[in-house]
Amino acid sequence: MTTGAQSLIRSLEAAGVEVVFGIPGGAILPAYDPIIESPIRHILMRHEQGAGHAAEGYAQVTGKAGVCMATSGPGATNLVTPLADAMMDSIPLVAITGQVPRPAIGNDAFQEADIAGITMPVTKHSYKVMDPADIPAVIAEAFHIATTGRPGPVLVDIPKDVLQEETTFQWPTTINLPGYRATPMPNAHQIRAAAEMIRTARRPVIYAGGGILKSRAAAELLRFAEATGAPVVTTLMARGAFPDLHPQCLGMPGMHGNYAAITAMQRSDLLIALGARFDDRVTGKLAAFAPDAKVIHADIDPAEIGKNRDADVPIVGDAKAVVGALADAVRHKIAVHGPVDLTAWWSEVDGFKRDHPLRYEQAEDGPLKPQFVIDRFDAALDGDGIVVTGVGQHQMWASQYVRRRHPNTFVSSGGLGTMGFAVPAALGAKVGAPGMRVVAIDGDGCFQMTAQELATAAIEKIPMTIAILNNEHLGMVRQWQTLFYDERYSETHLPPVPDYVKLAEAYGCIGLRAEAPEDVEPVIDKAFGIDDRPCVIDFRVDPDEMCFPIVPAGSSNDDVLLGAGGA
Amino acid sequence: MSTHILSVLVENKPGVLARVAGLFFRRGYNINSLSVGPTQDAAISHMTIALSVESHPLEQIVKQLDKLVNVLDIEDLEYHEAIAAEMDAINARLQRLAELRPVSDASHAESA
Repeated sequence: MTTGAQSLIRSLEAAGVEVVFGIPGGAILPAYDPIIESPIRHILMRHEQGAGHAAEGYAQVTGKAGVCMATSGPGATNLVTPLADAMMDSIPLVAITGQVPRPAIGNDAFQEADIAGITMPVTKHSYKVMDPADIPAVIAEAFHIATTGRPGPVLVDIPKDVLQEETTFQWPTTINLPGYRATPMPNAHQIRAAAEMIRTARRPVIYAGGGILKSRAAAELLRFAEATGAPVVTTLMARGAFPDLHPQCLGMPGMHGNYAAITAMQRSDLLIALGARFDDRVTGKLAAFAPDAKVIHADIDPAEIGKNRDADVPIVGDAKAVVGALADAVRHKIAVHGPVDLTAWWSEVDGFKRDHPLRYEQAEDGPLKPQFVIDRFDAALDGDGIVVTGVGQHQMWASQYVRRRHPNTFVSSGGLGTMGFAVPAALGAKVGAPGMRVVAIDGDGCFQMTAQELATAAIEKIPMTIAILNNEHLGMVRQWQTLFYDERYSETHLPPVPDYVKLAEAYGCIGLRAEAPEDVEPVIDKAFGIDDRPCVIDFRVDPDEMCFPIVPAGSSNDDVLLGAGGA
Repeated sequence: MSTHILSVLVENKPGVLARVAGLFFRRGYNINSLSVGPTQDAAISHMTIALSVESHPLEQIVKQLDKLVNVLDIEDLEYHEAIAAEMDAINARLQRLAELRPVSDASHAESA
């Protein structure tokens, strides 16, 4: 006989789980006992939110489901933010929570929270396991749902007495989910219609979204893009899905995108949206977005098609299958009808690039510019390694200035915009890809929200570089106050507490600081030489630097603010 | 705006009603009426959901509903005469109840 807890751990092993990020507590305690004998590595985090984001970082770089575990009540509610983050960014995540014993459920017992109810809107699916015999089937289903179709988070809530009860373990051979639709193959007629539309377009733009990375379709995207010759924009969730140094790459579109990416979309006569969802951060004012463009919209989730923008050619399917089929269909069209001439369009797009490139000025003796710091990291990384960010100005600068060569090497919190994402997500990314250098680019506001995970990284000997672009402010909020609130700075100043070098040292990490431009390269070199523990670098950057371009919220993408001297 | 009636087959599992109701609330859709009942198959329940919507959100509602793992099948019933008559009858009964209630409330107040 086995206990429910043993059945749970054996189920996780059978599901191929290598690592679990979690924190034990009363209700989940039985599950922690068999972990001692299990080959699964458990990483003891310092906060459940950190466990959830670490599992997300792991999932983003490996493509496998990330797993986090927490106890009932506050342990479980601390997972709400990572679950919501994973839901928004379609990250495969399985969260296992302990629950109070069955007889106590509904009685407001100690550490009771209806976590399945609380997380219903932010999970792809959830389970309350009331019979230990169900554990293997539920775990198998949870991993299937989390990782197939449009990936997402699945919560499995298990009462303590279900974990303690005797049961039998049998890993299911089939999965019975009659209401769960398998991924459809793209409709061949729609693929042909799309290819014809692409052939006849004069100003096409490929709008690549996170779905490309989720379905591991970067190679297909490259093949398709080169077949069409069209410009490619990669959203924040798709950074690295197309090589930044490729001549067809225009970089990130949207609110803080490159002018060329924003404007090419605005002027285009055909948007080819691949695994993207016409998010407001990309479209700006929806009614004014790409007014002359027809739309081919391919997505695995039929509910995304037509949600924000009507599609002329909707294609439901997995990006890998869709983009591969589109590449073949376009090649076939070209073979029959001859090549498509986009020379006029490219001379226009090259003009956008030439007129308004990304720019900043680093004076030799002036204050340290955050873009310069990121630029130097970019030079040191040379397209390799993994870059993880928090949320805010530093995130947008990272997306603008860090050039990516490989897919799944840029990890960020997009849809939910979760400050505090970087440190735990970088930790998880390093666990998922131990052979790769991991750099977290963070802000001082973000860093303080989850800095406790430095302890986890130090104890677990997880080396990574954490670059704090410390402008002593909630920088993006301050920027909005500068631009839209008459420079009335309400509650955005973060005085220089703590001392991040001392804090890093207190956690058993290396702490470094750079205050002048000439300090930057030596400090990065030093940090990259450390391979046995995390290294935190406090970059004291100019608090007045603003992130441009910006399309103000609710404005048309025709109204790009380029910043001082950017015209 | 037009009235639509969705006939939805769902797995008879705990929380299904909460998932459906939560979806409507979260995405800002309004339900006019909702009823849930058993089918001949004990594993499957049947929901009838009446909505007043434009055609565009209706398509979104159906697609989002379809994504719920426990939802098996959705049919958008046209606003048939027969159903309309039945709904009218229910509404008439409700109206009578509403007319009766102030009287009964008043009598409670007096007896208390």
